[in-house]
Amino acid sequence: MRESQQAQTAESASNSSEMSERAAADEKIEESRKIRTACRGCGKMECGVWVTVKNGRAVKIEGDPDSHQSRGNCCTKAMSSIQAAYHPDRILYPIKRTRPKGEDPGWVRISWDEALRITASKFKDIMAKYGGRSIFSFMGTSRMFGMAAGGSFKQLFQSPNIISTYQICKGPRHFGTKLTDEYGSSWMATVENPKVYVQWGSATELSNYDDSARTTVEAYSNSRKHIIVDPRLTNAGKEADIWLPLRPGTDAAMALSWIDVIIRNKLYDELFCKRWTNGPFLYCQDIEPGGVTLDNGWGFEFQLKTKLLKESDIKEGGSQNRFMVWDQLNNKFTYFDAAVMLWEGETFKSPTKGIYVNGAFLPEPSKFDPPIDPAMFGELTVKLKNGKTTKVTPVFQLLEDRAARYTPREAEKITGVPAEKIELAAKTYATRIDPRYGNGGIQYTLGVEHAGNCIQNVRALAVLVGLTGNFDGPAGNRGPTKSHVNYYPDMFALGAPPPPMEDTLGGDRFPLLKWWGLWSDGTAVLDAILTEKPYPVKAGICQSSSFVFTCNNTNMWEALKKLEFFVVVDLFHTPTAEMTDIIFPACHWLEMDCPRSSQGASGGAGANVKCIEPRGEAKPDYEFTEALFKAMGVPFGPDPDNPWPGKEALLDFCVAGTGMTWKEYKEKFRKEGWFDVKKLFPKEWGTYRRYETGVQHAPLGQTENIFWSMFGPADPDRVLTPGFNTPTGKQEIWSTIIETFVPGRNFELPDFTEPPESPVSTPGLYEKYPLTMLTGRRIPVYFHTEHRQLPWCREQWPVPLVEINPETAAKYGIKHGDWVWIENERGRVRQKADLYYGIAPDVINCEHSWWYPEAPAPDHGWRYSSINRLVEDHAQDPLCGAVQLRAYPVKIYKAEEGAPEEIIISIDDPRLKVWLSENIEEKP
Amino acid sequence: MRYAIVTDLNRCMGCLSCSVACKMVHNVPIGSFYCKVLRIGPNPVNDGGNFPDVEMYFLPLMCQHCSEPACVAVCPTGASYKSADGTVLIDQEKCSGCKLCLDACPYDSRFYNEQMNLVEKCTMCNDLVAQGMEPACVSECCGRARAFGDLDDPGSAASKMLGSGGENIFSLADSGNHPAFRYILRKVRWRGFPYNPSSKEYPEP
Repeated sequence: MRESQQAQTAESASNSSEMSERAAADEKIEESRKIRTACRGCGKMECGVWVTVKNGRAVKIEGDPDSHQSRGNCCTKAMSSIQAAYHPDRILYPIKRTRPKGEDPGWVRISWDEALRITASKFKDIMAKYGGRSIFSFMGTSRMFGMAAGGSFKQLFQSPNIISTYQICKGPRHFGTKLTDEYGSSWMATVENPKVYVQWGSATELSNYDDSARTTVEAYSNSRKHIIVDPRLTNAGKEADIWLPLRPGTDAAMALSWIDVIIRNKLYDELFCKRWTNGPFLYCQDIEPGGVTLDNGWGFEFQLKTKLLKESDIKEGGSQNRFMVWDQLNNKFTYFDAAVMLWEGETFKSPTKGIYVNGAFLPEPSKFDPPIDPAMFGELTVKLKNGKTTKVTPVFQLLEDRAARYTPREAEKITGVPAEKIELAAKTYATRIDPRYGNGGIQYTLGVEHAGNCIQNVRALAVLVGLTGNFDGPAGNRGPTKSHVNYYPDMFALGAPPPPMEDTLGGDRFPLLKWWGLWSDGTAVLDAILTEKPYPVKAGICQSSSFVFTCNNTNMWEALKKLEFFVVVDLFHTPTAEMTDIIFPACHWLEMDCPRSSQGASGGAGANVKCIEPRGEAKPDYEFTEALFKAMGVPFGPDPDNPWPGKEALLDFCVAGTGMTWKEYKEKFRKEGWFDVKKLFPKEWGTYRRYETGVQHAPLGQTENIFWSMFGPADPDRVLTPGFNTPTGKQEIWSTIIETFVPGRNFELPDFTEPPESPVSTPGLYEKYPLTMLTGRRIPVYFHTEHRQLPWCREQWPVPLVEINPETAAKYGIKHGDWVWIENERGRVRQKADLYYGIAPDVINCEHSWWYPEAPAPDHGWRYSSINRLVEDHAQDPLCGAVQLRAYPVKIYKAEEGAPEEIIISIDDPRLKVWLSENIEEKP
Repeated sequence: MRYAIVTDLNRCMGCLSCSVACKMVHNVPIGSFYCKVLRIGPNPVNDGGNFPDVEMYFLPLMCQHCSEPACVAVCPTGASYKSADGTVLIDQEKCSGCKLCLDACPYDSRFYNEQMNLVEKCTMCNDLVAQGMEPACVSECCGRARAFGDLDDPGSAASKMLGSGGENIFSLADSGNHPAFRYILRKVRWRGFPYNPSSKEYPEP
């Protein structure tokens, strides 16, 4: 302890400009104190924690029982965070390489000024030579840092190009839900105690991600019924009342089968379907696709092209915004007008009658006024304005027809789950326990995003949630907490224009990417680096990400080698960082201030409070981002007279919606604890069914800002209009955006497609590679590539394990604990066999994101075990481009050579102790 | 007075937080544990069966603070002792590092600290308890699966949790040492603690 304090003093002294500030801060530090803050050990859940600081040093992290959104949860990653902060291998200063890429980089320390100067001038040179689009951002999952790559770096270079974890994780959920109803409605309010808890391809009990483990355990323990949809026995799955162990990659078939059961048994919320989905809108084969001009909320304009019947199709001078329905009460056509978001003859009245549930207002569902009854079934005849008579079909009828292809009997053939079980699960979920609202949402997460059909999986689940009345209902899929607290200060540069989306890489194969605007296709960027086609990509900037997350790792490594210039901001020497030209040192979350708010539907707002001084010359990422903008002469903040306003101004802006300054906000949080966003913003978050009240929908004349809290406080005078932020103003069972951008592919309704590689789509491959491989399950002590160098984590889980059914293992002569090769035609990696009866005999489950910090630079052992060496880059979801990262065929056999050399395989390896904080010895 | 920890295994989902919390609070040497978590299974529900008819649970394992502790009986220096509140402790001043107790413990819950030449194990966080707090493995349990308290006091958290166990209360195998800790496990067959002290082997999980 004594030694390390001395080391810290030495660190402080090394930076003379901050010395006096720190000395003053040191004086104020008491012997021992507890600081309330928000954990950032994983990256997404905002668990409230207390950090004990003794003599300026964090010594303990424990749960904050008063944090309602996480209930005092504190996981292994949170506690072990201390070991990351004080890790001997942390990057503390800007460094630049002295040797060629592919060798040990031979890092040498440089000043911040020099690092910024080199970086800015290199980027400017490359922009001048090849254009801004030749520079890509490389986005990770964000610690405190990382989100500039998702937005502002693209603005900085005016480049649409990015390789983003978001494309394969959470992004498809957001993409699919934005298409359907609300950006991020995949987030379920698990904290509100669902009556029936459905966890689908998810393990929040281990990830503490989107919801804390504690919340998850209480949800499954206290719910009336607990349903798990997952190919393997999960940790929470051991407690399920109903487990549907489906064949990997068949989620949409399962979801559509539920929809079939729900429609056949009339378990859907009829008023919601008629009034708030586009179920009654009429599809007409015989009209020209058309519609109004819209934009995507970030500057990209497009013309809607839909064959849903509009007033303009049946009447000269009719509106393209009026979507026709057949009113079976009055036997006439009527319409919903998406321009004013009202049915014909209606006026908007925000509902006042309702009940309070979970501390939030649940409005009574509004009725049609004047009364109408839109038809949802059958076929109708309509006379078009050209005089032609033709047939039209309600969207809901089309959905029923589609779902009927997946009756439980049919779905059994696809998924392998007995029909009776599917029927039981669907009825259990959809049959209301309280008639006034649904049983809760569906907790669907990463598992549905990796087998190729991901947008349609998400769409099927979002529609399922809507049909049962669980969209924005109690414990339903409520989407992101609307708190007016922006927790990504550097994600968007308000002083710079959005990047042009026209020539986004991959936009030709995936036309929806232009509408989506948040990622180019990672595979296309990779190809452009390697082949310079359709145009060269020469440089990149990475914030807390790793090349192992997507695409084929072997290809990615080659691409990184080829870059002319590449920089990273990170805490550690990851293999990715070892391939850069310059590394900037990032702050650990214990070292910096930042607002914090529930990303998902947990409803908390709080803060990351700086607990300790930054080590070395580490800086918060938002400071780095602004400094880079300044070095390149590009305005960052909104005020042209003060384009780089600095940290305090940035943080003030982030919390401006609360009416407080950052300082006031932080002090209030420290004193009173987590804000309950339901109370803080009763209209925005303390109300359910916000499509009824108008808060769900963006103000008239504006489109939804995709990250609306990042653009400052809401306009108090805005005119509220009911409905959804979709072109039809409804939850879109029929996606008019897909219809516009990807016409003729039959993707408008949710559907099931086999994964690009599967026993059904590529049976030939299975002759050689007979096992379907899962990967990406949550490991309790790791967050993707992180924490392998933290002793408390690594000693719990020293090596990657591959789950294999004992029957299959016996067949291949594999014993528990054997190192095995997992192989396909693209490569092979080694992991250690874990005999596991909880997985089907024809499936194995590997771990992902493995590298070995103890192995030498630059590889750090990524080649040994990283499962994405087996990935086919071009096997992708046809709508968003997410690569098929699991559920593809492999073979397995014993590795006669055993474990890879150089790596830690047992907990008595002395190298684990070298990583302890007491070994901090600052190197120049 | 009988301090003990009761664990509801249906709420334990193997997150390992108890084990890491223990490391954090006690600065346990890397590679050694006071508290670890075993995965029991998955096993076929019926012998000879297979996926998906399987069951599994996790077993947080540590000193069971026995009422007749075998480790205390064999300790030649009196370092291992049973305190008045039921906690089994090791007086570090008296421990000679002879390791006799390692073999005596039926649950493999002690380890030898080479650097300090003494044996260590779970203290039920007696230092925290003395300050009115709960043991770290209890307070930081993500599943709220554990309760600490005096089993002789029906009002204690541990007794209350035990009361919810009904017919489903188990303890690790007792060979006269009378473990104090209790586990609750519903719906799944209790398979005890499959460690074989004579061979020092754990089964394949």
